[in-house]
Amino acid sequence: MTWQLVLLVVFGGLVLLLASGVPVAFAFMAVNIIGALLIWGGTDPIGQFVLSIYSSISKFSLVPVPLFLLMGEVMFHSGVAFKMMAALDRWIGRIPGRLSLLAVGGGTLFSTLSGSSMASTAMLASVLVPEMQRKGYSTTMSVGPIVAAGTLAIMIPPTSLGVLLASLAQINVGKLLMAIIVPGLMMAVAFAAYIIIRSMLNPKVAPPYDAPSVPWRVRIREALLYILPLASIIFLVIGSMVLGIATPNEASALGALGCFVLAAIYRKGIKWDWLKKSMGGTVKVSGMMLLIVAGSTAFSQILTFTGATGSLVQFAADIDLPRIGILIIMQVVLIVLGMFMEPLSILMVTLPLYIPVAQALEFDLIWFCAIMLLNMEMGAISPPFGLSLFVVKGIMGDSAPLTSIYRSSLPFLALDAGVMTIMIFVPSTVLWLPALMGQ
Amino acid sequence: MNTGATIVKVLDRLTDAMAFVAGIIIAFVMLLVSTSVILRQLSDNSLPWNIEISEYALLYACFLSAPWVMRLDAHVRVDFVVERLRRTSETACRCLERVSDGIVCLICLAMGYYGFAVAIDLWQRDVIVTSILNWPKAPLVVIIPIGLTVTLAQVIRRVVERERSKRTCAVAEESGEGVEE
Repeated sequence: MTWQLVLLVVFGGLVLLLASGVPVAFAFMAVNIIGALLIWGGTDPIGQFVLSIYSSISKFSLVPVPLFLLMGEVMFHSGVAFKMMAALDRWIGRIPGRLSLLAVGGGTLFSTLSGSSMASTAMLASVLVPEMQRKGYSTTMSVGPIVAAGTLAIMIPPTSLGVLLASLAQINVGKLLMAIIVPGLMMAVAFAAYIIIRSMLNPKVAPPYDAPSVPWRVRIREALLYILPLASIIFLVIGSMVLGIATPNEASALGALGCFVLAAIYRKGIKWDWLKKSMGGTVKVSGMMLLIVAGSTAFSQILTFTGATGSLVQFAADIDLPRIGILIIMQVVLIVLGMFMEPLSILMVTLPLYIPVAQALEFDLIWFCAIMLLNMEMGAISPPFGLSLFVVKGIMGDSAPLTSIYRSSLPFLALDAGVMTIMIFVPSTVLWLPALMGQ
Repeated sequence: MNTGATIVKVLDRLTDAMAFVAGIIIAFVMLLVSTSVILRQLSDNSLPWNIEISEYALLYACFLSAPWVMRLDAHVRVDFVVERLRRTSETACRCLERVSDGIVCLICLAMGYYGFAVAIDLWQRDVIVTSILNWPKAPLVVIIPIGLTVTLAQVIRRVVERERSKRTCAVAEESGEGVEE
């Protein structure tokens, strides 16, 4: 069997199973079992697959996946995130697109506390959408900034998806988390600039209004109470890594513990209602993510064993195209996949092929994975199946048709593509922070 | 109460209990790893076995939560073909759901059966994980078939309920909870 045929059979089978509605984790398991039985024969491969699942999940590098999710869930369900938004609201005066900017500011701030883009998007939508509707904001200026800012949780540490990507690509988790900080902030600045310019050019999309006057004393008190303490969480996650107090995996535990302490202080103790919701949300999402990792564990081994990976790498190396051209083609493929699949599934399908190709083309893997992560962020807001779009649709109900939600995400997708272009052509935007960490 | 209802009740209690333990495990890992870091900073002592325990805990959390995630229908799936079929052909949509559930059942059955066989073999050969704790490997691996067997029971329960109630494809789909990242 030629390598092209192997790829066709393996990926064709996977696509068929996925399209049939088989859960992603089980679709991978099915392909792995069938592939192993065909290659090695007998029933031993199923037992071996069980053992490889054991090895792939019992990894300390995966510990941040549930713990980063837990941070976001605790901040969301305990109500701390809402207090933070209210405090931030006091500081934004009468500027064009005020509430949309609040979405971007709040999303950026919440992203430093949460590894879950869904928690972030849900929090922003539930706080801001009713107010935006009352003030007459268009769908473009309400939904767009919320879904875009919500997914900043993927590009600003802590990020569960980033940890998974680093773990699967076998690169330094801490360096990847540092590498995405600058692009994440660039995205936030680009979103804010777009909102201001668009609101100035067409005030109808975000009608200006007088923000309630708040005395400086109240502003400062609220900032000290609800925004400044969040810096302690940022320090626990980022600072502890940079100062060498904790490894990235350990930093996730410190961050989650810090969130619990903060929530307990604000809510005067740990209450069963938010504790139950936070733990339930964490168990649900991390259980789903880890089972996909478990299911796809033998996928790359099968591709490697059949020679498909090696041949594809050789093929990519022999293509008469500049390296950057191949990189762009790879990213376009991811963008197209992002329209139909959710980010984790895309990573699982593509990483076994993308990482060897990136190594063969001598790309810096931290840089390459940071670009991939931005692409995953774009997938979360890409029509027609971006998950964040459905989260907002769920909160907005019939007041916003799906087509207008789709349209509202397009300008922000273009801005993401712009940031990705900068990352590709100016790699230092990605690599200078990890380099500092190395020193 | 008939036998079927009792079985479902027991299954749900078991599934809830497993998910509850998974939550406790995640909280335990958070406390364990944090304690280790704090101890290391404050004194020369740390908990060198915390990494190993966390690794095993993660495996347990994953497979203890799997049946609960299945009951919530929160295992992420690519559903645009099903969505399209829902609007065009009710029969085809139901058929696809049956095929999908059938495949999941087969996978859980095979992995459960061979998983138990592997765990028994490891137990009989007294295999240990060579590390700080030198933990026996069988009690670790066995959570994989246990989790998948209860997941299988949840899938069967869902299929039986759907077929009995003769719910339409659309209603069955809408009853599931959304998925998250």
